[in-house]
Amino acid sequence: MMAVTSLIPARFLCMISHLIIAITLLWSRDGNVKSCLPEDYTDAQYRSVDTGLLIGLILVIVFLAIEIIGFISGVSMFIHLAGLISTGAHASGSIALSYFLFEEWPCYTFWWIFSFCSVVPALIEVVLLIGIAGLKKVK
Amino acid sequence: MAVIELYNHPVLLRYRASICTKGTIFIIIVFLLTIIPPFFLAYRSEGFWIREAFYREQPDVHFKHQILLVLYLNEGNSYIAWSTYPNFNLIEQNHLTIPVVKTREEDINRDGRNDKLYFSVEVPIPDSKNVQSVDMILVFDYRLYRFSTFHMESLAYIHHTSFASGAQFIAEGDLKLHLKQPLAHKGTDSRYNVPVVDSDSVFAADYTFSTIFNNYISRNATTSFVCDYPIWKTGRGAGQPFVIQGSVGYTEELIMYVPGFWQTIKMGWIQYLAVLIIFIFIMEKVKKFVFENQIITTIIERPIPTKNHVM
Repeated sequence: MMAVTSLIPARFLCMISHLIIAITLLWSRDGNVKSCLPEDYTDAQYRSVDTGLLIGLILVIVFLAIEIIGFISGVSMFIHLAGLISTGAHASGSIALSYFLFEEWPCYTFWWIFSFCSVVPALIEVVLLIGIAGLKKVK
Repeated sequence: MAVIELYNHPVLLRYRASICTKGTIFIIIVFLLTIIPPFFLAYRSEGFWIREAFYREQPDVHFKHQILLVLYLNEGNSYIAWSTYPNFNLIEQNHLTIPVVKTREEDINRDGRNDKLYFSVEVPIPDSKNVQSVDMILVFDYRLYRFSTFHMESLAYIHHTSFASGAQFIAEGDLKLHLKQPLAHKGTDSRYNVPVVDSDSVFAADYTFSTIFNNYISRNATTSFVCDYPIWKTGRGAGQPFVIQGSVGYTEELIMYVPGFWQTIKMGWIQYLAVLIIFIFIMEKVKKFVFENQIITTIIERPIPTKNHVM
């Protein structure tokens, strides 16, 4: 079936690209941090904003890890609607994060991208994990 | 015998679902994702709404035959003044010297708009005195027609100072428009069609250069005389007048204006549509994939088969 041959690799590729962009951002988040600080920021201000962004990026990677585990283990691999939402979310997430990186968007926009493109698919994944693995729901 | 394709036509499949289903929500989300992101993409890449645009036009300029002239002489604070304003001449009676003024405007390319003003001012000066500086104001009537009908009174300030006593000052330059804010794209704009020099005034203070310029530069549209190659000739012969001559070119100007509603909308629409087409194409592929593979379950309505052909 075409859904198996296209949707699963597409979802995998989108998740991996989201992961790569997140890891790249971990290394070069300086521009984004500075773009939401006043011109005469102090070291303490910089550190607080930088820590916030760092936590956000680590959360992105953790959520992606949960999804990849759920995906690879087969829990959500053949649930096509979840796969579709995840593909869409991670595709737009990697595009938005690459804009965030290249255009040096201020750091508060990160949380919008984070909530729509990382939290939503991760929540679905967790619900599926609990539903299938935890409650032994047979599909 | 080889079979050749004679004719083909597409078959329309209808996917149906009731309102509160995943399929309907999916279609609504895909629709929103098709029309909204192109706007953000086009908007974020700057220049979506054009706020200013440019056009070129040669202004319709006429010399108003108004001159204010002050020559500073080398002895003490002595000066010579003359103007076309009777009140000023009355105030400056003690310093008044009547010059010989010749001006003519020429339309070189015969397009109905003047291209150049030639002027020559010959001021009789006693041989015992020498001219060290020239300050002269010429007043123009300045009009633009192409977008908004713009009308103002503007000036050219021609000046030069030299340590050497002069015989002749030659200034060949252009009248340049300066806009502090863009012009409108429609309507009539005669905000600055007010006299540069208040000729009704009887107070000397109103005729000083500082007052005139102070009022003048507070405008949003001004002109200035740009002369990069002034020539100051020395060695005035006995009995010869001091001569100021030159030309003021009325060159074509690059004028900034605020585009109108439809021009703004048109440019925005072009940019939006260019991105929208790509999104429509991609989203059509996504929808086709989703419905063909029944990732979201819907009722498939196939075309009614014909009697002698079973689908």
